[in-house]
Amino acid sequence: MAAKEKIVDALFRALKPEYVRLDDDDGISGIVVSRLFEDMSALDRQTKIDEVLSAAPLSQDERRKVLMIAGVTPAEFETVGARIRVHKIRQMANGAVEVLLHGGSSDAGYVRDALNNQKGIRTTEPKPVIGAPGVLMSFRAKGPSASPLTRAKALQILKSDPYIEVMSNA
Amino acid sequence: MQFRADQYYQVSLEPMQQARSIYQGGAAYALAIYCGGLAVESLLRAFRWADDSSFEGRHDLSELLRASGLLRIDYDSLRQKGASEEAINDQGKKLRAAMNEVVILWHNNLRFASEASLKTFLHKASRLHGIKGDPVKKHAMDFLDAAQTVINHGVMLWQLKKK
Repeated sequence: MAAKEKIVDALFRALKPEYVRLDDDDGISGIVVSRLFEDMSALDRQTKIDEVLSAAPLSQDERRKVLMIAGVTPAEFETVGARIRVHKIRQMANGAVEVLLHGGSSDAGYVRDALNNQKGIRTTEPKPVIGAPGVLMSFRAKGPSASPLTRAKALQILKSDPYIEVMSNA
Repeated sequence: MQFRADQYYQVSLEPMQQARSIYQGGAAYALAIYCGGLAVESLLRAFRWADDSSFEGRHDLSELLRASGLLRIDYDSLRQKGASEEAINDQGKKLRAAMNEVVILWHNNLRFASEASLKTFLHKASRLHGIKGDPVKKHAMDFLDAAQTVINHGVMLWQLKKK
């Protein structure tokens, strides 16, 4: 496993993040978004991240590759205009789709509304995904029987919303 | 030597880590502040250079800050997602307060200050009153906390820029 993947794995296990994004360009840097950072000073967050990295199975060379992983709260992440991230869209057998997204109930509500605003589409109440890496919510959406909601159509609707980001492997 | 924006960005991350190590070592708080300030200055340069590499900001953080757009907060996005006005204002205030703390201590004359001259400056600026223990240590901690807050915001913005 590459250093970046080991670090992502360690961050998910220890910090229950909503989102992690790391880049590896001449060193690893990026962000980890977690509610655990609420009420922690910026320095204490870095100490916590250092502890996680120290406990991760990284060689000394891999550890030295880490330039900076910024620990931020979901509220701080929102300030830069981060979009709501849709993690997966799955086609279900009964002509419905299941949508999985990163974030809490307000984020799920926004994504739901984006689909509900389309004629004939109805959605279920979002629920947290138990056991998922990070904080994920899911709900189902279904179109009218004359025009079932396909995964491709759901993708098209969600991708056209300026406040929603559909992940590349969704 | 000409630096590119992404080089300034990479350069900004390393001294911030070093600043924390030096602070935790407990022997050179003025040096820790220097490294933290250098990290923030490099970050501002990265953002400014990304738009215009001919910019001549020198070491004036206030000028660089204005030109960098680093304090940008996406208010429209926050409102669209239902954040309260109070929550929106709090995020803006927190970031501006952190940047002010950095600007005050990253004053040109303090960039190369010794521990003793830093303490003299803090005394003249009436920033020693009421502090228990080592005031230079306390200010170094506050400074690095503020610098890390600014760096965290910058790392988030930089990642969005890269999309």
